[in-house]
Amino acid sequence: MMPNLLENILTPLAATVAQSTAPAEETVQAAQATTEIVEETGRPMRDLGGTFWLPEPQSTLAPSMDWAFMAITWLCYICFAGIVIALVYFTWKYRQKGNEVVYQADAPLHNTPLEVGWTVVPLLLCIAIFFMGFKGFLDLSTPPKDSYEIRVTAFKWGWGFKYPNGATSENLIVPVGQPVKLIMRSSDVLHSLYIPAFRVKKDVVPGRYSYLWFQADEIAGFPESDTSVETGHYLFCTEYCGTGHSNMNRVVYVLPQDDFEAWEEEQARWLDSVPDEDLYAVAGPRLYSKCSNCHTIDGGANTGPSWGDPTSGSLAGLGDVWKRTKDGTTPVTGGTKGKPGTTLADYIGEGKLYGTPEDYIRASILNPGELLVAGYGPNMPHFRGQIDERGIDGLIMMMAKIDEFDAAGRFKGTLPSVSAAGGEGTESE
Amino acid sequence: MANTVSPFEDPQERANAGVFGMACFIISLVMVFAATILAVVVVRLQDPGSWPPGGEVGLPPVLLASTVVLVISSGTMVAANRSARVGDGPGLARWMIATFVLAILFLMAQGIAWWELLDLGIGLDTDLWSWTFYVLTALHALHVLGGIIPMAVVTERARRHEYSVENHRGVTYVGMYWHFLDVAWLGLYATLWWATSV
Amino acid sequence: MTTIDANSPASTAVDPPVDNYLTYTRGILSWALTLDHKRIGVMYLFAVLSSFFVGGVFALLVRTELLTPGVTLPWVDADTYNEYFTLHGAIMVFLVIIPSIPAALGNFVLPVMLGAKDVAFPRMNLGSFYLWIVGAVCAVYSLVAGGFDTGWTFYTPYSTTTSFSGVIPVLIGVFILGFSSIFTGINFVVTIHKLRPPGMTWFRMPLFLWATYATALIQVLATPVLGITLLMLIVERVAQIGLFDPAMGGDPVLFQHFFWFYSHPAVYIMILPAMGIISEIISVHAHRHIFGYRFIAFSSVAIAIFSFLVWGHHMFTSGQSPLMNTLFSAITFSVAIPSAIKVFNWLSTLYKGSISLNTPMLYGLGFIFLFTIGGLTGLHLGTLNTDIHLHDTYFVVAHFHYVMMGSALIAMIGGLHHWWPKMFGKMYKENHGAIGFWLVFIGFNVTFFTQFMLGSHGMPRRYYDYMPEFQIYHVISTIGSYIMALGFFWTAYYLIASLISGKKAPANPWGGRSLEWQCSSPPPHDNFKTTPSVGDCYDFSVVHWDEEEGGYVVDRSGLPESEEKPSSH
Repeated sequence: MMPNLLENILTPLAATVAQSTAPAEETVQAAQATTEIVEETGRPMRDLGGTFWLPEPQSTLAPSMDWAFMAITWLCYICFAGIVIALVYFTWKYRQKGNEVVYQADAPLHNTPLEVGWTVVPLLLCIAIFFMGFKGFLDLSTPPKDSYEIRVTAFKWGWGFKYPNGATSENLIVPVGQPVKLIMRSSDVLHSLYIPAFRVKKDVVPGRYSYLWFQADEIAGFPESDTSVETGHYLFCTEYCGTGHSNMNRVVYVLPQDDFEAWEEEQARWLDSVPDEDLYAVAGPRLYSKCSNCHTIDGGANTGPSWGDPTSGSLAGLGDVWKRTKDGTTPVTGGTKGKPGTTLADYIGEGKLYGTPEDYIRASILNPGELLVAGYGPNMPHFRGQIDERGIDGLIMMMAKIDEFDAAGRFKGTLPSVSAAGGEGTESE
Repeated sequence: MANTVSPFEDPQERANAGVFGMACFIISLVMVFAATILAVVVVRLQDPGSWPPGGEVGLPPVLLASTVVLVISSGTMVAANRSARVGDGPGLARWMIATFVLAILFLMAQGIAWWELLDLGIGLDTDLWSWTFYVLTALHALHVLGGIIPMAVVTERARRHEYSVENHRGVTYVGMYWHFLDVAWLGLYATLWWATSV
Repeated sequence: MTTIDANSPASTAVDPPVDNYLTYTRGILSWALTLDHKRIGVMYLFAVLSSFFVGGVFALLVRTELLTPGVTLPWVDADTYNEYFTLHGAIMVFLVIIPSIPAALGNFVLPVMLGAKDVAFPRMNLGSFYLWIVGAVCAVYSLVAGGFDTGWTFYTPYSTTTSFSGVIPVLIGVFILGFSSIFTGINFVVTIHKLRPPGMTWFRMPLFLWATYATALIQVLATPVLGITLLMLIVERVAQIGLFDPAMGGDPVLFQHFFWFYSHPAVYIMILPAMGIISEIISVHAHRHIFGYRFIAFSSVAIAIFSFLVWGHHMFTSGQSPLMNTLFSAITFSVAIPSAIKVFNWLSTLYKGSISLNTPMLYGLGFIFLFTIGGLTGLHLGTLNTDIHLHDTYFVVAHFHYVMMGSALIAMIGGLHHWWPKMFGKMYKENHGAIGFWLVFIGFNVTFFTQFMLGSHGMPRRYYDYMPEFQIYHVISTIGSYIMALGFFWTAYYLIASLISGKKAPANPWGGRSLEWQCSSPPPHDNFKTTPSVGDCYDFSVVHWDEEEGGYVVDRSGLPESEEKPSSH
């Protein structure tokens, strides 16, 4: 444990130092160290970038905020230096030698002009700073009329972004050079959307809508796959929301206008273009990426029950989700309709709460919380409006054939359409 | 140790400090009720619908009776205080008993109001209106209960003629607190009455 | 000297066993049922410092967990981490900092400074201590009952829906602690109004009393709002419906308004008495009349008043209207002014002083250093557009630790060293104190200055897991926290050691001028046999070193008759 811990601390430090000071031949080592981090934490080590105080500004709003920040910071430097110099100088100059007090009768008791002075000068400075911040804030809180509107749903613990043409995404994809307005709501508790590179932040409050706008003025990559975070900007949740709060971060990609439109179009239509026989193999994993925050496939413990054969989770040995749903063996202890001491078998079947196992899983996606699996809390948000029937079909089929997927949810085999067309021999793969 | 119960040597100074302390405590409680009322007002103003949502149930009429009882009890408390100041021992006992009985009556009336609503199947978690009704009345009732205990002690001591013109601190404190409860209830009742409308 | 009372050291040097509050009566019950403000103060001190230890352990666990992204300590998962930082915050705010200076040090010092025998309502004083105990027990019980992970801010609707089942006990605990705080506040307000000795007009009070008075006003006016807010929260959690619940038309932002209406003034409950202590420490150890007495006194009251009008600056991103944000930002800057005034006045008090760098003075000067950083970085957060970027990041964490720990708690430790000889009659070793101070001071800056950079680069607070590029800052910060912990353990060690083997303290080891330095160390049970009258408590021209006494004495011979004489003897 201990050496491992030390290594975890030291390796990235070495990497950072190497990156910043290394001559050319050492960068290889640094790169190696960096790669190790990727494996350790699942996140690549990126350069903090920017200045000593601030990250690189990436939106039209950022420069004025940075200017205000640095102006205040410089004011702080000056005041702080003045105060500390006076403090040290007086302490040294008037230090007492021995025990006897050196009483100076001419030490002033007060000095009204001086005191009024150091009341008024800070007051004027504060008024100036206030107006600086006020001006910037007015820009921050008035989205331009022609903004591109994206609807945002925050939930424990992720974000749903919905674009005007119906496309949805988990990371935020925006066009470059165009004001973007986020219309945000929360489906459970308070969240707060924060994009440091853009210097914007706004709470997402259940029961009301809040707006946030920005205009990114530089292209920030496009993901090769959804798990890459190499080029985008981080998006954080900054209002504490429980277990997954610190993993509620996603990436913002800024695309050229054409690419953005193409992406948006593809995103809205992709499900339609998947052939029926490939649905579980193609749509399943893609949709599962949303579920993967809480549900593992390999039986690992997480916020929600695993889909795969649970060998290490709290439901060890129950069998994979489809099998235990079909067999009705899952113990149910809570939820709005479940009672302690019951199993799924009590709820699935002719005339019961759910007619078929498929009905149960469909309800769990659209209307979770009716039944809670033993050992799990009511944490799952509903996905009404975010997934259609075809998508649900794909997910249920994926669960039924969970063995064909690896731990990350990737399809291991050959696509059914390919193997049907390409013919013989590929089966064994 | 016994001689250090109060740092005041002069009983009059001690009584003054006591009144001052009681006033501070009441100011503190004023903040409690003011905040409560403010919360209800803010939420009510944001809600465009009618309170209660169905609109057919209103505040139990018995609240009007309890309000009258409480106001009268404030009057008898004033009379008790005056008796204490002039050294009218029997008068003090009489008025204290009257106040005490009225206080009990008030609590009973509040209980009837609760019972009426509960009888209609309206509980704490029915809607925000019922929530507000129960929380506001319960908050006040708890303060009344907190006042009734020292009031019982003072009443008993008054019956035994233990108070004098010089020393009737207990009567003064209970009186201050009781008048405050009276005003607080008027505030809460007005708030409930205002909130219960379309 | 002998005129002040029979127990002053001049006469004790002779022999007869001195009446001393520590040994006045014996036995556990004589402490548990004591009405003596000094004993209650000492019990508070013990309770608060114990809580500080527990809160500190949670802080170290949090810092250690943050050494690496993701899991570091094998038993700390995200939920456990959330519980740790919640506990750290709740313990430090409600059990440590809020009661630390007023209830522990204030209880001990305030009546002695006034020359009074006790606070106005000794029974209520003991009652408020036991309320504190009950509140603390509720908080401990909440751990047994399932813990809580809401953050110390208890924001709805998270706090009404979280599956941790210790939320209600801890809310009840905080509610009761609020009562304890209100009763202490009432007691101090009345004591300062009604028990000032002859000659002590409002503008002759030691500045610590002004600060305590301003604090007590906030305690009386703001704490009840927290109380009712938490009650409504409890009801809401039980009934699953309430005024803060958006599902039924309630308003979660209303909870934030109410919470901060208390919790922002609460920041001043923490910092105002700290400022009072610093005014005492600086003037006593610089042996110099405090500069600009009236400005300091007025600025305490000004801070207390403004503190009620600025709560909305915690909510610039919460969705309150831009108009409200603007107003709150503007008023927030007005709080900066009285704070700045105080710093300038303390600096001027050093000018032409006669400065002894005793341990309390080191803490006093350290306070000015740290409070300056804490205060100046408040400008970034009060400014509307920069706060949007910095809100709920480590920048805020660093800022409020500079103010609440670097200032309030450092002042508390400084005050503890300042009054330690008075409280227990023993001197700690000066060089030990200096080592402790430098460890704490350096550790503190290493821990929290790095967090400013973390925050301005966008690291959100309350994160269990973080981006690897932030790690270097986290590691430095954690190392700093270990240095600081070492400093505190060292301080605990030499203070306890001084109780056992410390040199006997003279009545006036530092050359103080206010009344608490004119009764013996430790003070007798009744403080003063008769109420002394006082003059200018910052006139140090009459304070002289007395070799025989081993401390300072106040020479009363040159003073007018009306001053400093007991009213009767």
